Amino acid sequence: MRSAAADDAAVIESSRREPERFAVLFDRHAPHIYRYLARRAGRQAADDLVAETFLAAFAKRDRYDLSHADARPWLYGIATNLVGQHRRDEVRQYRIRQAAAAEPEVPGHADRVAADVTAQAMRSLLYPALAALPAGDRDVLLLIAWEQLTYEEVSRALAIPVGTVRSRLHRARTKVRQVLAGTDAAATYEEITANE
Amino acid sequence: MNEMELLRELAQEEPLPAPADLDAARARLAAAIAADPAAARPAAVAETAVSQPGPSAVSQPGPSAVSQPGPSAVSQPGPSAGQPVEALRPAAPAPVLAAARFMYGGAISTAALLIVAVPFAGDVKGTVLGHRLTPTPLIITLVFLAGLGLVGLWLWLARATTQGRNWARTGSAVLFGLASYELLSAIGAIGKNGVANAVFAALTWLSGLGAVWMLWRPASSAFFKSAREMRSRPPSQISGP
Repeated sequence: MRSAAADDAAVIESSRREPERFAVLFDRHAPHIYRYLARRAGRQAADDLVAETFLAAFAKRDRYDLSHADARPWLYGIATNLVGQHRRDEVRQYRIRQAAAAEPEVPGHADRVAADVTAQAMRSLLYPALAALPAGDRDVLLLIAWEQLTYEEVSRALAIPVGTVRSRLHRARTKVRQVLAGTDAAATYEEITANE
Repeated sequence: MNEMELLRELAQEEPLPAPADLDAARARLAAAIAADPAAARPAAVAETAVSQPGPSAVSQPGPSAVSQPGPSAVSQPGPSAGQPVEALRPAAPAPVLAAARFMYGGAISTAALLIVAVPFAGDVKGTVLGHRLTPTPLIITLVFLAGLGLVGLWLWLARATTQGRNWARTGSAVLFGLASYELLSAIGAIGKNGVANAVFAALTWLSGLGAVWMLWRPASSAFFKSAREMRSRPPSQISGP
């Protein structure tokens, strides 16, 4: 993905003269942007938001800084701003996933079942923890944890200094860790997985 | 397992979308690209050459203007200079095409009812929307004309929905409400009018249900929104949100 994205800037530059070239950027990145939006706001909202993301990017392509070869941070930044306008969808999505995570699945080996159940319990705690984070902290945490962006890329995506990225990430991780550590589930899970 | 690993594990649960999931977004982007002034620039010269100016005219370079890979790709007709905006509307996504097929099915079932009813036209003493009908030749003719009108209405709505006309979507929902009433009436009158009438009413209702369901899917909404934007703004002003 990163090597393919290396000439994003060239694609954007050529799309200023030949707009149809912008379709290359869509084909290259839309699936991942869609998945990011679906993770955060649900598939139904993602259908619309991915279109809005690329329409906004297309409209702003003249202002893209061509010194950045990889356009993913730019696209994730637009997508994240759009998610910000759909906070209720995002919080509802976390509730749905929390409810789904709370339902135990598959029978099997006793220890494995116990580990699965405990992991599910941790997940069901993770979603409300995410929902409770300040929006800016959550944006940083999820861009790094889910989309594997670097600190510098998140800095570009959200137009904030790298130092702010670090501090927001630290704050978000601390809060999430506190929620997970304050439960028996975390300890049980560590114990079971350590014994495997 | 720390919180970052747990988050990454959660992220694995959301798969990449199927190509068809991106059709609506691709269609909206293709519409914006087609309407972009830069895309229109080369053909604008041709437009002047063929003397077809005016705000309703738009131009676009050749048929390869928008790269659309795969079978689910959006078809952009790539009209020559001077063609109306209508020709540049985004291609209908799969749910809208499915809705149109349901409507064609409704037209077929309505036509079938008319054909089946011909031999019994003089015997039927039915009710339409609660009004009792006496089968005089005039009434029979009017009822058949109304039936033909219904077939035409199905076909007209099917065509309008694939063109992105939002009123067709709203009209379909209203007509589905009427079809629901008609179905209930037919079920209530099975003793008088027989089962066949109720069966045809049920087929019509099912066609309407399928069409309305498909027309209000997110991909369909995005398509109607995109088509509306294309119609409501001069092409030179469309370059994104």
